[in-house]
Amino acid sequence: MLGHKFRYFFLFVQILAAIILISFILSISFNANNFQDKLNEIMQDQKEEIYLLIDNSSSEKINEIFQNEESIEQQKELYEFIKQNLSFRTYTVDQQNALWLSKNNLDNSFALDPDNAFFLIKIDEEFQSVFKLKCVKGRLFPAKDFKGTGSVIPLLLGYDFQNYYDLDDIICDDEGKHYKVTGFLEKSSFYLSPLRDDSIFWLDKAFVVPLQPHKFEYTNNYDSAINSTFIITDDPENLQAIQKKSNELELYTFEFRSFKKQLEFILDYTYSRIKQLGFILSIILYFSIIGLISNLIQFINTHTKEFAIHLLCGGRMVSIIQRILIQTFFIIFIADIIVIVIHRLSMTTLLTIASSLLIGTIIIIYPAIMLSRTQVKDILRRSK
Amino acid sequence: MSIISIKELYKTYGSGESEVKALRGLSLSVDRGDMIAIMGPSGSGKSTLLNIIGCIDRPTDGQYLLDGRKINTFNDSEMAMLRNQNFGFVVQDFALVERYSVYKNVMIPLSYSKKQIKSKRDKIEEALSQLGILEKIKAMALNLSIGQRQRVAIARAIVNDPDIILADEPTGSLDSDTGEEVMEIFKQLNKDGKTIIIVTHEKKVASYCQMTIRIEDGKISK
Repeated sequence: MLGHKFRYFFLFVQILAAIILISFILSISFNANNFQDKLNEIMQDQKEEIYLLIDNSSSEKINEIFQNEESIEQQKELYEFIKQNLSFRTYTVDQQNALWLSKNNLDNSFALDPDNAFFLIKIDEEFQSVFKLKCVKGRLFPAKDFKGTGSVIPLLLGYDFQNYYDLDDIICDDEGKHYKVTGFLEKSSFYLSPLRDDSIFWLDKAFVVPLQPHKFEYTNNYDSAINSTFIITDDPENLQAIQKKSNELELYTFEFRSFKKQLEFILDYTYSRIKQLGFILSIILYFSIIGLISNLIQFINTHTKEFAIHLLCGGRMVSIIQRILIQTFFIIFIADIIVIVIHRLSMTTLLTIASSLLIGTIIIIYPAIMLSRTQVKDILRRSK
Repeated sequence: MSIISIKELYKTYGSGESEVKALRGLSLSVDRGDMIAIMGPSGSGKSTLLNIIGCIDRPTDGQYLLDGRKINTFNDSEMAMLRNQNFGFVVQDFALVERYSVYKNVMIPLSYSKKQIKSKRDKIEEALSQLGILEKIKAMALNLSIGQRQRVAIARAIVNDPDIILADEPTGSLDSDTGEEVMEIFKQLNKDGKTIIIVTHEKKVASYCQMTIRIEDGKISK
């Protein structure tokens, strides 16, 4: 009995792993497709290409930049060169920040971590037009917000904040900085930052503030802003001017990669991950399905006498098949609950549940047919 | 009126060269309150007959009326209902689920019953009292003696208050004293109004019955 329970548990773990793997494969695949769709959405009105500035400087060089007190001026010069260059357009989204509120009544789904850090991005004016941001209430940042000198910082909030804040509310962070709510973004506002495969950033739970370079105080402010800047141009040759300027200032070594090229990288990476996970999944599924079918057949054989007694006393074959179904689908049900916890209610979850039901059906189909074709008298004879 | 009426019953297993004719035009009538022994050599068709009477198997041809109802036309679900409401089964190997308690074993027919039963526990205790093993209600079937197991099996057969008790070699695995005890129980149940049909090899068992039917080659020979 203990051996049976252990085997059953082992098979449960295998099925659980398989179903969770299916959900991850679906999730990776959906993310890549979503990214492609969103990129197309952004690019359909853009005649030019968007380029990432990827910093390929060595770690020694980065240390040297940060240790050099004068480098802030050099970084400022490079940043201004990039932003004021007339041969291309740029936008900046600095996401290397988080926000901690002095008073927090937001629910847990807003926090990035258990310390209640919230998602904060600093953007420039061009960002708003590239990603077609719109407000459901209030207004986007006008040009003056990026040059503001006042102590209160304008603040755009994601759509989901509407239950917590109103326009013109003043929010205070843990450093004593004050933010004034100027607008709420439309639902499902987003931006793309395709350095990794999960590179769609939804803004429904984001704090958005204007990037104000005139208030930069530290070396890493410019570093962060430069590395968060994207170049929009139809001629890649224009990008070389940035590298040339950087070389002159003895700063970074950049790689310029277009969004389209990056998308190809992401898709290649995604497909190779799907292949790897799919291979592991097929092995796990093969062993777990064969194992569970054998387990069910063994269960039927060892419980023949019990089934016979139930049939003699008025039970029907359907109720015995139901027992087999319950035993199998209980495992599937538990695995699906875990998938729902991980992915919540989403297309990934729904398709994973559908896949798990298919797996369950494959597992029970042979034992169920075997049982349904057996007559009461056969079970009685076998039980003797 | 007969509770069981069988006319020209045929049962054939397999086909072609492997065809086996288990019953060949057997006719039989059993009245309510009868206690009948069915005897015959191995392979004569007595267990097949018992299976058909108990709605476990279907005849290939012929007519079977149970309390005036034509059983031939019943579907699997209706057959299961008949097994639950009309029959109690007692078999040679006691047919207890060993990992169940006595209570749970006797509970099985009640769990499929659609009769209105006020207290299933009362019914189970009543059946176990009748068989003199109420004190074993919480015991596991695995831990019972052979005689106790057969009593539990009989308690399970009567708990749903069926009209007919079908017993297939009920004393086959028992020593002679315990076998006699079991037959006395059947005799008492018959006195209480149950119709009892027993398949047996033993003349001693048959001697407890009012009538013995002998089957040979799928027909009643005597």
